[in-house]
Amino acid sequence: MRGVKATRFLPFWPVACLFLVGLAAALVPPPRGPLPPRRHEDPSQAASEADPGALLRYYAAGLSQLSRWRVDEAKRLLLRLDPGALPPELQHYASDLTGLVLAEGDQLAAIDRLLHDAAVQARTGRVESARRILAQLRRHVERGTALLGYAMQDVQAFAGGARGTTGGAQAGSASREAYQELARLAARARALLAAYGAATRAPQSAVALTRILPYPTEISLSAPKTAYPGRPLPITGAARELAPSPSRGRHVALRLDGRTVAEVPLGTFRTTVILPPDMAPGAYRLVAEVPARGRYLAGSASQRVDVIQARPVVTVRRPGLVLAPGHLMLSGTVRSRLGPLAGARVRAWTEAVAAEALAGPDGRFEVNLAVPGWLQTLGPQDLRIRVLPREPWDAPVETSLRPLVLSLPGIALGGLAACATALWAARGRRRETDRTRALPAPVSQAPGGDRRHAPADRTRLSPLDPSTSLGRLLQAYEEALRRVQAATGLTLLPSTTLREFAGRAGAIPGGTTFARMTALAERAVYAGRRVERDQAEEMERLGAALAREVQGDHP
Amino acid sequence: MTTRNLLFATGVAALLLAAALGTYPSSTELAPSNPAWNGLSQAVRAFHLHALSSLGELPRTAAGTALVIIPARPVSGRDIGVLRRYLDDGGLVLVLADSGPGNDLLARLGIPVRLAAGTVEDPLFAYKSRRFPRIAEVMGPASEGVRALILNHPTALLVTGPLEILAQSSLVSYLDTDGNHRQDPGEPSGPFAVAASASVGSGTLVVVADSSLLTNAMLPLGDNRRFLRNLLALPGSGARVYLDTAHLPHAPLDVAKDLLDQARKTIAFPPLTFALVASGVLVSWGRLGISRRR
Repeated sequence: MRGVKATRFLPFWPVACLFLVGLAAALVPPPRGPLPPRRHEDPSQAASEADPGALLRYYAAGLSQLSRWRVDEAKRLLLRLDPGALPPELQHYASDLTGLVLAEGDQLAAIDRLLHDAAVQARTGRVESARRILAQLRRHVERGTALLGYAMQDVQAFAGGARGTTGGAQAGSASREAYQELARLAARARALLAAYGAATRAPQSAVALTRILPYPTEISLSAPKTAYPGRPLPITGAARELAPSPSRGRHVALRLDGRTVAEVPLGTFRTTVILPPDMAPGAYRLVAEVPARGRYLAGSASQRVDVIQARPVVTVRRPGLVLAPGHLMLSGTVRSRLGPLAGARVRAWTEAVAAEALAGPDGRFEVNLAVPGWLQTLGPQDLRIRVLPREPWDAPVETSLRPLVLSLPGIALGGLAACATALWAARGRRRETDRTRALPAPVSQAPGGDRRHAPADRTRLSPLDPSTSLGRLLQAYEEALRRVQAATGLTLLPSTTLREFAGRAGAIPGGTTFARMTALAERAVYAGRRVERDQAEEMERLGAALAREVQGDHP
Repeated sequence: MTTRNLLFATGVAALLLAAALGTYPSSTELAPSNPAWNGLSQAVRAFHLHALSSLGELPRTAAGTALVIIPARPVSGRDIGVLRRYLDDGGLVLVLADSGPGNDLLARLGIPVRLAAGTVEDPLFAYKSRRFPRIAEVMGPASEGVRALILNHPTALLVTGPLEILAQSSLVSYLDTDGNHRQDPGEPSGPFAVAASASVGSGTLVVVADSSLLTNAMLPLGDNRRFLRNLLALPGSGARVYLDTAHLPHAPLDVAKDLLDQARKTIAFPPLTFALVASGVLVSWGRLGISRRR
């Protein structure tokens, strides 16, 4: 096997340089342009940090709600705090504190309910029953006071630890302020519990206390978890005022994500709401809310409702192969779990053409696409079908097909281009073949020195026209080759090139001339350039000189 | 070196260059082919984003499609017109922005919301650090299955008109306007809106005050992926989602990739493909015939 010489690749250096320059140009960093700096960082590289002051401030907000008897709001606030998502050094305290404050909220809610129940019993003369309720209430007050004490102990320990761990003066000061705020709120809650405790001594005290306390409103709510835009949503529930006499002019407002959908009177209610047709699908919060008025406190209850659109299923029948120009007929049905999509707009389109139809009452549709015989309508086409339902409770849906389209003009043009390319390639190949055929044939040597010519037709040099310059040149060379073979006894073997053969024959008289003739023949055959008449004449002149030299007739 | 050899070598070099440029990942931030933390390669795969090198490539029928735009560079008046038509026609535009060009885009589209100058930080509801606030209040159409979003140096939305708030920060968050990562006196406290939507024509524009939400580092955090999936499904199931790359930061490599993509689209023109394949077959057949005759 011959080794590949590195010098053979030398002519390719401009191309290699072009490649490297292109690669380098594409990889250089972007220039500093007018783009504003982006504000972001790799979260995996960010260091964890904890701010205990922020946690204390958050609990202060929760306790503030509790001390104002907004137990539900306080619970919502605290439940939003996921201890698992906090920095590890805060998780333990957060779990404990959240549990304690939520339990405190439960106690306050129970205390409030029992106080009102006891007052009602006392007012209706059932003193014994009122006493029993008050005894129960006392236990809740004691439990509430104890829980508050534990919570504040935790807060104190946490704040002390926080002061020790947070190095910055600013962070320490923030924690101190938050702690002081929490202590103020805890003192207020403790005073309130003490007032309740005092009211448990006698039923009349409970009645007196309820006279100065605001009246809470209890609300319950029930609705299906899933609803559809434009379709009815049944809602049931009850709103009850824990008061000696009912309020006036208060209604229950039913809201979906802040948008009022109905208003019903207090008491047990059952209503059906038609959801707005333009309601976007998603998770909504259905809230039943009674506003505060005078001593009557506000009340609310909520539930999640998922507004969804039914997803239609499109079944399409279509031919696998389409001839263009021609027609592509699509037919099928479209229906969802709520029934067929009557009157839905079915639109089908490709890059080149679009058509539309309306679905019938049973959801059936037929779309006729007139496929033009354009160049681009050749091969698999991306055909998309979109269904836009008439009813808001059905979702728009899109599906796609890839029918094979045979465009006759496209095929014709592509075929012409292909034939032209093939003809051009064949012409180049034919030229090359002619040149190859023009080469002298190798001569094999039989064992024992018996020389014989290998394929006779290859020694006859050229099927080319001897009237052309190339023909004349090769004919002269063929004659010279025979003369040298005869004079030297050497043969042109299959593995020997013309140049090698000329080198071996260089020692004989006329060897130099034959080398020049060989160079001339190689140039004519391999250079790929037209052979001129003077080259043929030069070859004939050299051939005549070689003949003289071989015969010993030196100049 | 003959002309034929030169042509062949140039062709090989061009193919090598194209292959190298096509496969070499971009390191430009927010580049669709960038697999690093600040790239969008995961989002491109997860949401089947179709990259648009110009807004002019948006489909003629906008309904049932969505467009994600991260305006890192100013948007031209012509592109504003294209966006307005797209929205009027029923498309969904998701704008992820937290600085200058985003404000300009929103103002010129006439959306009553602006991006605040500053960063929303949360010392309590956060992922690792206050600079990655955890947004636990997510409402409205995109909130299904979403408990919390995690944002990366977001800003606040200053809503000045009728917009639906989709997500807001906690009450202990604050707007850090001087960049010292703590709440100084006078710096506003939360909650702040960080995502909102507005109806424009028949379409919807959703703006999220964080340009990094789609990046490879942020997509898997919290319920970011779910939130984005919900948003991009608003135009309908199977909606085609486009990503505007014309207004993303560009390095020369990205420009080269865009050019290659254009070239690929040109070659994919059916008659040209047919002609190339047919020529290849005919030429090979012809060569085979010649070699057999020999």
